[in-house]
Amino acid sequence: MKRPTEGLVTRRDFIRGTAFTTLGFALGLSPFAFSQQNPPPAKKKIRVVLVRDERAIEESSVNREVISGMLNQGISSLFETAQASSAWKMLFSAEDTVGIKITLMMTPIHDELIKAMVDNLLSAGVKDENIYVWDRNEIGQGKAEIITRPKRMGYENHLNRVVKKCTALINVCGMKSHWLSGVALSIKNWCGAIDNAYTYHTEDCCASLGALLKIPEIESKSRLIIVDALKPLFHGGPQVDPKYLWNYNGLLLGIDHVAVDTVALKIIQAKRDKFQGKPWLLSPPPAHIALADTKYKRGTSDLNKIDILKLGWQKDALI
Amino acid sequence: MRWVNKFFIFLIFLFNWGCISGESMNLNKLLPSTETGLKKTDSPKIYNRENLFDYLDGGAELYLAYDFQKLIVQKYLFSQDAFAQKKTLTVEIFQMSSSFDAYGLFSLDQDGEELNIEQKALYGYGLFKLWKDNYFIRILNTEGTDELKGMTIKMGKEISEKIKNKGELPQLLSFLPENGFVPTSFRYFHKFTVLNYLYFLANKNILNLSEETNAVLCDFQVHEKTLKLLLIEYPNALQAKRAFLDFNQLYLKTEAADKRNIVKVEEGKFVGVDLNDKYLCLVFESKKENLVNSLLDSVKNKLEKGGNK
Repeated sequence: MKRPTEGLVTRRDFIRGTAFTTLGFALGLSPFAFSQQNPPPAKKKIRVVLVRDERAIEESSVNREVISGMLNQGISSLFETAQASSAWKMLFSAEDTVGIKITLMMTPIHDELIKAMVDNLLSAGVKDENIYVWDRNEIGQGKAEIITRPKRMGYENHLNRVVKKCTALINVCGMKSHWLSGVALSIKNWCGAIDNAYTYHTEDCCASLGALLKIPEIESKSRLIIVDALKPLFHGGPQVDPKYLWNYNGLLLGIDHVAVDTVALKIIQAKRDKFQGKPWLLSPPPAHIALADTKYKRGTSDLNKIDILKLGWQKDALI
Repeated sequence: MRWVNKFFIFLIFLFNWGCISGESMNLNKLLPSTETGLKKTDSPKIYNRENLFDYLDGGAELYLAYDFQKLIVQKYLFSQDAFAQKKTLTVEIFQMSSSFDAYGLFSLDQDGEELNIEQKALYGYGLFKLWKDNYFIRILNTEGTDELKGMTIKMGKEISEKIKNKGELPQLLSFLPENGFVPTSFRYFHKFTVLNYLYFLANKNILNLSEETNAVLCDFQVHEKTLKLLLIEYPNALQAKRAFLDFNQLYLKTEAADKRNIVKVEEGKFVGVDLNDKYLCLVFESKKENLVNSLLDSVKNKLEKGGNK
């Protein structure tokens, strides 16, 4: 029997701070991770915007107007434009076919957020028939099909044809912990664009998820990442135990998958620690985020290199 | 001849179709009645090992790790305007190949209010969980109000009463010492992905866990400290021995002792491993070596006596 020594990382390595240094950094693990960091380089940091409003979800009632306002505030801050409409127009034009990759399962993306995004795309000049909202092979074309998503385009070389049809992609993911990969955020959300996701659901904490960002169509067409952090899940998952849901009332926006996921991970970890009143590390460790940086070179997972802009409601921001 | 072959293929198809629809029918019968005033959103959905991913995506792997067989999902509305507001109640009935595996799923999170419903049932924050025989049931209401709590528990009780048989608890439970044992911490599983979800040990399968191994992870409260105990049953002593050697070499980074090894690791803690025939017992999270030794001794005694009778 072959012994599993190659690439072995144990609990002991994590405690010593020698495993996935940047992951340890994001998790707030051990001073070792910090001491091993070089000072952040002088070049411009990657911006991730966190925008929150305590009125977004009150009890279980979702406020569409508030969410729409948060989205606009977030995108204008991300792209440093005076008006949100300028940012949308900067990103998308009338010539674009835009695919909005959402999440439908277990903790679905809030419809109010999707509708606000589609309205903004339409205002930016994108034609209604050129907007696709989809997850897996459930595809809606135009505003009328946002909820029903009746179209089925199928897959080519394991990639949904809707990805090939689009000229621009928006990744709208949920914010949740995940029993097999530690967390399921924007990187893992691309599993819903392929028909062989099982090849990424591997026993090594799904270490190869970062490879999804190297799929040429995804890499070249991705323009915006939005994390629906209105009501995240901080333990278990993807199946929901309501005990571990909380009204965070936030959205995260960015253009770097790895940076966005690193910030979201930091928030989830902080929530877990607060819930237990002591360190309660995500298990298994979400190593795929650090590896998306260090192995697949698809972005940064070093919080020192991320400019986190916090807007709106600051209470219990956890970061 | 070709017609004969086609006829047999047709017969096989009919047989399989009969089996599937028959089993689906059985799961259907377990669903709660709608006498409570609840309205079904649509017809129930049935999932098997092949299409469970359509419902749970990556979550399906967890159920497959417990030898999942079938699932029926039925959603109910609990008020007229509920659909618009997405206020639904979802019943999930998982049929597993054994009561051990159904119990294993139930054991993964045992927080909640314990209910007097057979065999074991819990409720908390809008989620009802039940284990009976080879079924694991979840009923999730999105609101968690007192009114819905009553309705959810009533539905769960009805399902429990429809399941006539009772299942057995995993035998490994009988090998755990009573002293200091925290019953709600007991987790039963087979594969290392589940171990890593419960207590991350390594990104590789250094203990050689598989669908053929049975394992429990649980806490022991000793002198106000919590020790973690992992007990694994391998198919045979040879495989247990191999895992013992691998764990010593790859995790403890020491030469293996004959049958027991206790090593001081990070944070001043001790990790102990003990080999007993086809069983491997491991203790983590103790700052005192003698506590590790003592817990390993207690399990060893239980194993030698054949557990609680």
